[in-house]
Amino acid sequence: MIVVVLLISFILEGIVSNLVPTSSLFIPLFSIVSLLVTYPLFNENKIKYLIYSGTLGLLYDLVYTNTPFINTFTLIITALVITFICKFITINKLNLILIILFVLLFNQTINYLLLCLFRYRIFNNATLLEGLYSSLILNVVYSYILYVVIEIINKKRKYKRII
Amino acid sequence: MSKNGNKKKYIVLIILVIIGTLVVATTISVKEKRHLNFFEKAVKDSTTFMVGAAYKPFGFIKDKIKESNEKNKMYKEYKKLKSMANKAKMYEARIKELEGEVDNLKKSLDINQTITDYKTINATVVNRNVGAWYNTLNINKGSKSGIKEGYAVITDKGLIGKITSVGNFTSTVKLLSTDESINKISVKIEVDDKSIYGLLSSYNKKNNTYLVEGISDSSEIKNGSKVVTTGLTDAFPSGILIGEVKSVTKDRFELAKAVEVTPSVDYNDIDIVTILDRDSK
Repeated sequence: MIVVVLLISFILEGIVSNLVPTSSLFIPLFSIVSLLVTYPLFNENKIKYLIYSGTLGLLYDLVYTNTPFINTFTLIITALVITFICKFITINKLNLILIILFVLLFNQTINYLLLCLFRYRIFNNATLLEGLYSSLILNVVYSYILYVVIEIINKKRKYKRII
Repeated sequence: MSKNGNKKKYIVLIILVIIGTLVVATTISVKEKRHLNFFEKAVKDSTTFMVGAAYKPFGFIKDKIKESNEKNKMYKEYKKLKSMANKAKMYEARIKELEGEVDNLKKSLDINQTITDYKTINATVVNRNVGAWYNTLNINKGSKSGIKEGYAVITDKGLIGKITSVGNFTSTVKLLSTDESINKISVKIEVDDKSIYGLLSSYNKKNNTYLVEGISDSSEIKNGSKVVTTGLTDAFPSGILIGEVKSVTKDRFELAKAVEVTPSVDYNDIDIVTILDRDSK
């Protein structure tokens, strides 16, 4: 279930990137979103969660961005932040939006700063700000949809087990 | 208690070692133009193939929507094309004559290659600009189709970028719409019969304009003049359209002219690209 959700989100990110205009407010970051939404499915198994995050990051680096280990690194750090947040807040329909906003802003900032650090990009406040706000709307919507879908599938599974 | 403390110390140490290794590995591997290793090529090729296959139904729907939108403009386009078709035959004859002339001159001067020579390879875009910061797109042709790093990439409207990494069946294109001065390109502005040379240095995302600097020529540059590549660098052949002059100002030192250029390409609508191979001709 977890692998399927992560893989579908990963592939969907590539597909949607082709459909939305590049300069729009809808930059897809579905892989990060799927990492947050699937966290409860790991049942507090942090090591497994970090391994999945690292693998997803590495795949992202190899397939989409050609910047090996940048996304591996940022997704592992993001996963650590998610585990930390989830110690204090449980993910539900209400606070999912707040958590996803924070996680996206955190991940994108770290990602940009690392790219600047490794001289892949040159630091620019306006670019950073634009990248941050343009990656929020679509991903918040996707996180909500994904959360609802996972909830429905989980409920069906529980009923099947009882029967 | 002490056992728990030791365990925590080990975990922190392992995390630090992993982070350190990743930082070192990233420093070595993150380069603008680099060769992919066997493992990277295999993963990239297979996954891009999967993403490409999954995109096909969506691409089909996108094309249909585009097609129906274009149908509304068809009559106007038809009228315009009809008037152009008459001229086309005349141009065709003229091109053939000029090509023959160029071939004869090449033979007499014993020249194998000129700055306008190239072979073309067509490819489809599989995904683009994934993540907010990368300004790249992946295409479905790689080294098996003859693509190499540094080759210029165009659409039917003009230059869009160059190949930065090549897999066996996929490649990555770095777009010119990167809003910082990473790739400088030698360009010329065609004013009447004269060419004014400059350097395309950056892209302004907000205004959707390139900046051409280093123009010492005092001639007047009219708005709307065409900006094309010069062919003086290895990657870009001569005469590839980049855009049109939007405005002329002074550079930041008030010494030379700086020209804002509107790109001829719509970066939001890139589905099929052409790679220019200067080696094979």
